[in-house]
Amino acid sequence: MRSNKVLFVVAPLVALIFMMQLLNLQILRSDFTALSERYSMGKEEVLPERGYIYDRNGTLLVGNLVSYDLMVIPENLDDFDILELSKILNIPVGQIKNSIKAAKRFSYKIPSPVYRQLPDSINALLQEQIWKFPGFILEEHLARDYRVRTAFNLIGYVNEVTEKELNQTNGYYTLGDKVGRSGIEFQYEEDLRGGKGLRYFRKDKFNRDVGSFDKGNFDISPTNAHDIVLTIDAELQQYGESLLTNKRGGIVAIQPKTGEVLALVSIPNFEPDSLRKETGSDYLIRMANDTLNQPFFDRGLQAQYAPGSPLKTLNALIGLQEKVIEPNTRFTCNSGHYYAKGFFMRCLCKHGTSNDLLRGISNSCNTYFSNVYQRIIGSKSTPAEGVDNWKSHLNSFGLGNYLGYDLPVGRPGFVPESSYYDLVYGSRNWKSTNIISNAIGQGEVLSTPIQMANFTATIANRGYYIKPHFTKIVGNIETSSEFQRQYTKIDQNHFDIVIEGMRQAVLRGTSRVANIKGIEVCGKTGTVENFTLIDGQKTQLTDHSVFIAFAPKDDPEIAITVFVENGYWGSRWAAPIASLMIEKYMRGETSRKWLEDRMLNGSLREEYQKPLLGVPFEINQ
Amino acid sequence: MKTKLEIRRFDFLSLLIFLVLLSIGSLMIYSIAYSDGKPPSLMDLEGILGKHFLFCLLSIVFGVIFYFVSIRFIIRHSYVIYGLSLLFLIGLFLFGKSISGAKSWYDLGFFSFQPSEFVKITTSVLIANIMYQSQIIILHRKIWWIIAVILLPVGLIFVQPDPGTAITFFFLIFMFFREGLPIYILFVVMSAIIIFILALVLGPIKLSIAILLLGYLSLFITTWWNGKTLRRVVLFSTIISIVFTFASTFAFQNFIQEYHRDRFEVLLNIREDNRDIGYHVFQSKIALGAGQFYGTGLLRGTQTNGKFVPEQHNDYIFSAVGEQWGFIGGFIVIGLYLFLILRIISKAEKTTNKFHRVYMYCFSSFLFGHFFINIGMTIGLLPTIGIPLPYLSYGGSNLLTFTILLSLYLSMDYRRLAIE
Repeated sequence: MRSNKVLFVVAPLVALIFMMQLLNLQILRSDFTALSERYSMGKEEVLPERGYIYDRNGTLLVGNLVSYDLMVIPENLDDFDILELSKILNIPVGQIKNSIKAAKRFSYKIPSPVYRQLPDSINALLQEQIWKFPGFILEEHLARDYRVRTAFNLIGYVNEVTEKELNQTNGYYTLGDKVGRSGIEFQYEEDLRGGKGLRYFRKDKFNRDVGSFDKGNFDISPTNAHDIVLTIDAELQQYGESLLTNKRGGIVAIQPKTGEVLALVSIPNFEPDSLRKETGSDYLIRMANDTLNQPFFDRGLQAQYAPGSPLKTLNALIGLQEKVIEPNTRFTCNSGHYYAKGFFMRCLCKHGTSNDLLRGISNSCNTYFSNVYQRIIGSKSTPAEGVDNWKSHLNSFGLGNYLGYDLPVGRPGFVPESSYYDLVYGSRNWKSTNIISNAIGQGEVLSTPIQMANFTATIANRGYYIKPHFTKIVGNIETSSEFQRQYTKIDQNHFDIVIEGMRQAVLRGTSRVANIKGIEVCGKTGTVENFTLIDGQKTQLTDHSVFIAFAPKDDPEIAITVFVENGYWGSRWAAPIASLMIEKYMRGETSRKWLEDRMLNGSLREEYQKPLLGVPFEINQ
Repeated sequence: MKTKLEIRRFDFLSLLIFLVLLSIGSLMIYSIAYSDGKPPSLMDLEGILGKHFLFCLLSIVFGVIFYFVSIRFIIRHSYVIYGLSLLFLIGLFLFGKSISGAKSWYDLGFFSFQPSEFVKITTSVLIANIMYQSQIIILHRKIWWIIAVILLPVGLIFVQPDPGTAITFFFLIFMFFREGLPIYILFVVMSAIIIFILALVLGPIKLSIAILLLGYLSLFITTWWNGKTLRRVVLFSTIISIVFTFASTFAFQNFIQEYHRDRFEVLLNIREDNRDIGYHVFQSKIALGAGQFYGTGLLRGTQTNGKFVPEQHNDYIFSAVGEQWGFIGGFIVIGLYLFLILRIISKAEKTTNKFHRVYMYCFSSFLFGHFFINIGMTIGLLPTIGIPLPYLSYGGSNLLTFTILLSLYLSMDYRRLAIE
């Protein structure tokens, strides 16, 4: 008998094969290890609630609200009663089927929306019955809740990140995250969003969360989002928005002593909560494509207009500083004057009026400032030096450059320099008469309403401004400490006479409509010629109505600029609106209801239609 | 002097391995039962840990009892015990409790009793007895007796149906090899298995053509030697192979239940399915993969904690070892089994008592069978055949059976030395 002790060979052989397979599974192949992480450990981002936004008085403007979306994951779909779901959601079966089809086209594993922003009643019903509909889930969101419907141009909006952006933001965002798109939401994104936390949890085979992983040792707790207190006065802001209804334009109100922006109105505007609705992105596209109303164009920050007559106040200051005029310097106006042979500049003064500086300002005399400007340019040995010197004065008021405020949009405006005119007219081939329009703010100078409000505040402060800004407190930090006085190149003693001129303008000059009993308002109107291209033809449109003002005269609390596009006289729209705003801010209410009603109900829609109709039209009616 | 000698010759090492494996198993079951941060209670007899603890105690008590039972007594009553165990198997068809489609259990309320496990003891003892009594050599007429002794319970278990347990009896072939079964049988069996697998993978037609070509080539080559017998063998085996190809395919498609067929097909990659049938093995492999070299540490295994591997406390307990203690843990457990298997048969080689030798070979073969099928399945080398891993898995009947088998082995080994 032969005995074959086969087991002595087979058992070690089998053990060896097993060990090799173990080696293969556990060490050589990483795919199973990777799978284990995917299958069993869930990683969940813990998002801190987005920061709140308050106005200067502590009124909550933007909070958050919980909303639920019904989503579908096609992979997990199973037989369900589509009729029942349709009944609960109160939408037709076909719509649900279409949503599922669309979801399948998009992804089988990633949830796609079926019904966004479930109403509470439907949500309550679905929360209980969702188990009946395998593959459907209710997704909780925190959406922005706009408690006070105002200042959307300033606050901005949030939107889900796009896939393209995911790669550009160092991997902070994941799909579905909301990110600030404009305004404060964009500027202070990192403060408002806080820092994401991470929570690791264990999943069982049904993908259920079965508790934290390793007692939460690997978890990262989120860092708190910062709340933001704006400098904006919501009530004033809302009031300004209503005053500009059916008009186009911007209002910027600044507290001169602090540089805090009290109101930044831009009309037409958009509504950020319309973005959240079902047709969110459609709304966005529609708004962005509205080239006529340009709702995303902030007319307070981005619109560059010729400043018009308000610039005369600065020319007066420069004239005084350069000692080319004195307060009692007089010029005679003959309803205008010839500033060069054959070139007449019209003025509204009666023939033979002799204006000193005070009356020059209060009557907004073109002739007066034309002369002042010629003297300013002539005060240096060449016109080029004169212009550059004049420019440096304007620059010191914050014109011609970005102001550096804390919002993401803006324009630098423009103050011409000598080299600019060299380019236009040829080197040394020009003199003050060529550029005389700058005297009355109608030349090459461009400024934005916030720049104008800023120089108004500078005049109110008698010689300095504080960089305009929109936030008082970010998180726990008060922003006011960051700001220093920016002094102009004009000596303080020159301001009083100009301010008196602005006061006179309100009392008995061009800005009488802005007068408020009991408040010393100082102001300056402007009526700005402007042009557009119609079929390639430069066509003049109705003048813009402009007004700058501050009040009270001593110890000013508010400086304001109102710009109403194509509103004609400064005193027709801009001055009343500015006046009402000042009264509203200082008294909390307005007394002149007739004026208020005229502004609230007044419409310039017809005016805006004119250039679009394709027929010749009259302007300045 | 004699007492001292006896103590030294007791196989403490095997006992130690048994205790180590039992401890590892208990720890694993503890970790599997651990859920939601709550440790399972040892006293909770509803929970698997409490029950397992009780089984361990029960097994050790029975192990000690059986250690002191006279082997002579067992030999004398081996027919009766065997007959009784068969009766228990038959009784299942009348009184058995059906669990997942198989009537393999008697429901004793708190405890389910699986007679097919205990038949391993009675069969081993009876075979050893018959071989011992007749000093039978293989291919003697009495071999049919022994085959009948094996096939009777196998048939009864197979129709329960519990093919997993039934298959373990075929591992007794290692005992037969030891007792003189020609080695070529092993090759025949191996060839049959290979043909069977190839028939499933390639299909019977393609395989037949391949075999025919191979046969023809072999015939062509053998003409050079002018070996008439050789040519006959080639011709014969070619024909038999082709017949077997079709027969096995036919049998597989018609006599094997669908869920067993599926398991084969998934293993052989004829069908890819990680969700349905392949889910168990897939999850088991993921758990092993998660362990990597050092393992995640006890209670830190994500797959074990997440209860991903179905029946992990039972048939897939090795995956819990692999995940939590990694390659090192798996290596050690495999090593322990290998050592125990080899230790038993090397002790068997030392004994002069044929009863002892055959019994020990039977025990070792069963142990190897369970080790081979269970771990092979867990690590994805064999189709899913649900049988427990002795000493590690949860399950009273299996643990008790293998503890008694070990106990009898220790007893025989000790007495062998005592007689000398």
